[in-house]
Amino acid sequence: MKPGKYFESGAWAAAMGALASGATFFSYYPIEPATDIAEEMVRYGPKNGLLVFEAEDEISALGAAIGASWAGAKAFTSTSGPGFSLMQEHVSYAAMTETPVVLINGMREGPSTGQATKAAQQDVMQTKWGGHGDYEVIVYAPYNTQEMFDLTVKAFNQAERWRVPAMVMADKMTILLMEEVVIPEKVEVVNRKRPKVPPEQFEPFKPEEDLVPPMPRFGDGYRVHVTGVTHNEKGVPVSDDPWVHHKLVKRLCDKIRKNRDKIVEYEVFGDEDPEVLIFAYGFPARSAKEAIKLARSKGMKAALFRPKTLWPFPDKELKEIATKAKKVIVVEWNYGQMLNEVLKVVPEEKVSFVYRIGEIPIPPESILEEGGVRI
Amino acid sequence: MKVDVRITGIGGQGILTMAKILGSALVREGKYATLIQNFDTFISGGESTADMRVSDQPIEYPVFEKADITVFMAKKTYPRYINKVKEGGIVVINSDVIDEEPKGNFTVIKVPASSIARKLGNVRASNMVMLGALVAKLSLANPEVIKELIREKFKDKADLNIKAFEEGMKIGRGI
Repeated sequence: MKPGKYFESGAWAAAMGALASGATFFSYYPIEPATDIAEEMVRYGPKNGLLVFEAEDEISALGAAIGASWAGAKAFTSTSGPGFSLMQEHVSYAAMTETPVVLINGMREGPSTGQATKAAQQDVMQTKWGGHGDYEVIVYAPYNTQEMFDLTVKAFNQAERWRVPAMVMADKMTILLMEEVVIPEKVEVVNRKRPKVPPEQFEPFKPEEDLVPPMPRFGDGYRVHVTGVTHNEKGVPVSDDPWVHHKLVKRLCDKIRKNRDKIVEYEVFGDEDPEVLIFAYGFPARSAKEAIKLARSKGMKAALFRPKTLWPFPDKELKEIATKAKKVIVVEWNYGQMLNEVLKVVPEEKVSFVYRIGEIPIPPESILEEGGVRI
Repeated sequence: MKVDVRITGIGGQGILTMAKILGSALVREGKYATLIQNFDTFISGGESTADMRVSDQPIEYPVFEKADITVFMAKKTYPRYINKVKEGGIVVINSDVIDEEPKGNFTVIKVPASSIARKLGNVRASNMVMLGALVAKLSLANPEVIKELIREKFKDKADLNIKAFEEGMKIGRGI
């Protein structure tokens, strides 16, 4: 797409972000509200050298993306609600095999089928804890159409940089809402590290200093056993030595935990020393931002803390600003998920929780009122 | 400046096309617009509504309940949204399909959009007649920019749609 200013949907913006990142493979199984992204990929992908694969189900869709990634593609998938649940086994597999892959999730109401065309924020904990085993993923929460572009690009870059699954947690509103989106002249693109030694000296899971091993591509002549079984640095399965497992899984987590400062992103909007702090992410953060404007227009010191990365979670940054605030209002479209992360760093007596379980608008005035702020 | 515009009708009438052209024109002119699409799970025949907030400032919160301006393209959505017009607001109806007489503290603009479009050659261009009336009445966006966008969108079918838009503008200006 030509650089410039467009009036388009979040689905379009995410598709453009993927193409700008150099995506060459997209797989999906139709499910609302993520199908809008699939439609954009079908429309624009093949013209831009991207292969679209409609799989038989969501398990296959993420599996195909993982396979494509090992064949050298920049691969991604999009899904929603029940489809995201089905993908969890492969999220865990991608983490274990250190496969760069991007997943865009259109969060909708659950449990189960819920209300298929309504937005929610009920999958945010599942992103981190949905698959079995200890692992780390990188998760973004876009709040407007521009971020559907920008954070999709970042998800691709971080997946490639750290060899992990990266996710963009959108919802029906951020996917369908149309507004201004700017496609920049130039986008920073990160590509995975390639082996620097000849095949006979190559150890496929031997990390470099940043804890990330270089990744060969199928067909390059490097021998790799890609397996979900615990493996040593040579990639040989080891089922009898728990210390090999301990060391491997620790590294899978540490490559993100020790580099979290390079990954974490957030926005603080408003006063640096707020009396009232609102914590919100994704679509509800738009109302929260308006609430901050409203409170400040009445002379109150107020700020919005908006994580752009849900994982890694910007806990110390939140703690720093929350320490100054008398009151912290947490806003979510669920019955308390990221709330628990806030409570790890903010004393409970300061916190009030304003929520709707699904797509019920929370107007700016209601956030303040229900949060106990009089203006 | 902040105006909330609701365009409502049924799937297949080009509600979204209309709203998208308006939004694109505003953004091209350096204004701000957000568009929330609401529709039934049907492709055609279900309810379709576009909620647009227009401003000269960046828009954070795009959700509204009552609109300053509501455009009715079909009977089906009329009962649901006629009570969600702001006091002193504007109601634009396709008078060929809505026979009710809207009553309330608002201005009513009647546009015989279907018959105008039919006369021009295709009833499906009703949406462009309505867009013309809306744009002319409210000076929301530059008509020349809208015509440019209609040309980009409809390509070889643009002439009919531009004519429909211009006919709509005449009605909008006349009131």
